[in-house]
Amino acid sequence: MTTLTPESAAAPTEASRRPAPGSGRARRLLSYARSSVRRTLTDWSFLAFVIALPTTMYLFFAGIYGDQIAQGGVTVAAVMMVTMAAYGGLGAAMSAGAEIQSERSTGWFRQLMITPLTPLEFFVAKVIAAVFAVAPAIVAVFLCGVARGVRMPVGTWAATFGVLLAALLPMVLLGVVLGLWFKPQTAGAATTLVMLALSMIGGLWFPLDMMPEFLQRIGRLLPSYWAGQLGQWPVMGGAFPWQGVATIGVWCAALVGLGILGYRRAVRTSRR
Amino acid sequence: MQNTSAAVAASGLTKTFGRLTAVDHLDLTVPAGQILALLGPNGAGKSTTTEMILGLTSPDAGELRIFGRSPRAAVRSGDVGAMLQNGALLPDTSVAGLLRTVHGLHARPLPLQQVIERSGVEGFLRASTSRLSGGQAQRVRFALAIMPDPRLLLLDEPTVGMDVDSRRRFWAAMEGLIADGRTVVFATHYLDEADEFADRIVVLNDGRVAADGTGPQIKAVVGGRHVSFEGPERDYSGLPGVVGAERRGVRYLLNSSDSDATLRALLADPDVHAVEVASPSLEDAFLQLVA
Repeated sequence: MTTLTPESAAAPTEASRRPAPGSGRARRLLSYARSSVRRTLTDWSFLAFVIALPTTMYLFFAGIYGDQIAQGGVTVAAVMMVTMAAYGGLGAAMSAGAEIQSERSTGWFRQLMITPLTPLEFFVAKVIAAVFAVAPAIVAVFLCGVARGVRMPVGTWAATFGVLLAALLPMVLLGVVLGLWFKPQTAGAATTLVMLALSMIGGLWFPLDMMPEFLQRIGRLLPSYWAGQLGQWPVMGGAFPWQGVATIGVWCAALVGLGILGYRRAVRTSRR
Repeated sequence: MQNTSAAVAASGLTKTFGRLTAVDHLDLTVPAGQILALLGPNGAGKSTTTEMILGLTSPDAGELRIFGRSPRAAVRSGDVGAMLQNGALLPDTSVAGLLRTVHGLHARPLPLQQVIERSGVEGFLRASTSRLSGGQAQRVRFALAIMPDPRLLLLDEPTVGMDVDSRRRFWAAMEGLIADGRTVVFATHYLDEADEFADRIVVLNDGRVAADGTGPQIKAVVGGRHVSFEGPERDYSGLPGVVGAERRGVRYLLNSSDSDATLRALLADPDVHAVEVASPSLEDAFLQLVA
């Protein structure tokens, strides 16, 4: 930073004010991500929604079924902890995505676009901020798991957390796409409905095996199911679910495509 | 481009939205340091022109250079600051937090303290951006506009909705900034505002330049008063200030650029009676101008 006296600041000289192209990208990203994180973490209604709901449901269901033993000799309380954390993280990721789109469609975004921040930097900053929305949702359910008596090696906790985060973060895209394709008034409801459908049919509330055959078949195509499966892998062991990585990858590609289409449509239909 | 010293150099600038041609082959050069008012009724193309200068909208045709570079490059380097019309602020943040966030985005911003003092937001730095009065929000937008320490300031109807008193205070606050030799382009509905604060007025209508000149020049064309009266039949077009005269039934209608002088001369004739003086709306004035 140069030290500017008020006088020299008021009369900018040609030479002193030419930044190198691309300079300060990291600074801009961090500045905007930091402000977004601060806003997320002070939004109590959002935090209550993504934390209170999954933790309450976890404590309720784990209280009923928690002491039974699932396959692999792990308690149901532990397996359910992973799937409920996935449910909470899914909601947080999709809400964060919906917020990206709603912020992008406001007049504020136009104001942002007359700063050096580019649309891509804006998006990356918001995805970084989304990590800070998804992580608390997962951690909160994990803490409830500990309270319910789930005990695992530190490495397993860390691996489960990391895998869940990586598997759920792409669902930020889903929130963005829903925000692009639905009117602002209905986008919130659409996001909630899709999130509930993905959670239920993806087996995050009840195991997929308890459902009718056709629902199971649909469930195995959903990213939410595979986020749960991937999250369980460090806990249950067994073969790594590569099919899940592939499924989530296909979803991401499709969502990016839908996002581009939706963005073009939004540009075409809005006068400005 | 050849003219790198011009703050804005536009030639053949065109933007259409569906069937509506918002800006129609606009040619406009704004030398650095000039204070220019873009005057025109709603839908004249003021906002669209502003948005193209800011790189928010890209022109369908034509060439546009800001200090010899593309609009986006000029914005990225901090050469351009803007106050958008009804520009929304990031909701649920303190004013201080908002200013700090945007400060972190600019390449060579003014020191934050200076931004705060110049825009007069000291009194409500801790207030939430969602709970500001109209005047306070406008000051925050102004703070955002001057933050990059821009060489070109674009103000899209900066005083819309303000009363005369706040308008004066706004322009008084601008004066310190303008004195630094910045270029200012502002869009406005108000001829008086344009006349009082701009070096040059460009009148836009239907996306084209309808008139271009100094305040007095433009005022003579669009800002005249209509003086109408009944009186003896003769030619009144030679009276002081009169730029046009016509007869409508029993009444005469004079278009005057200086109604005071016209009236003094006119009322010397005791047969002149039933005098009315009216300011035509800007829209009426444009109809005259374009016809």
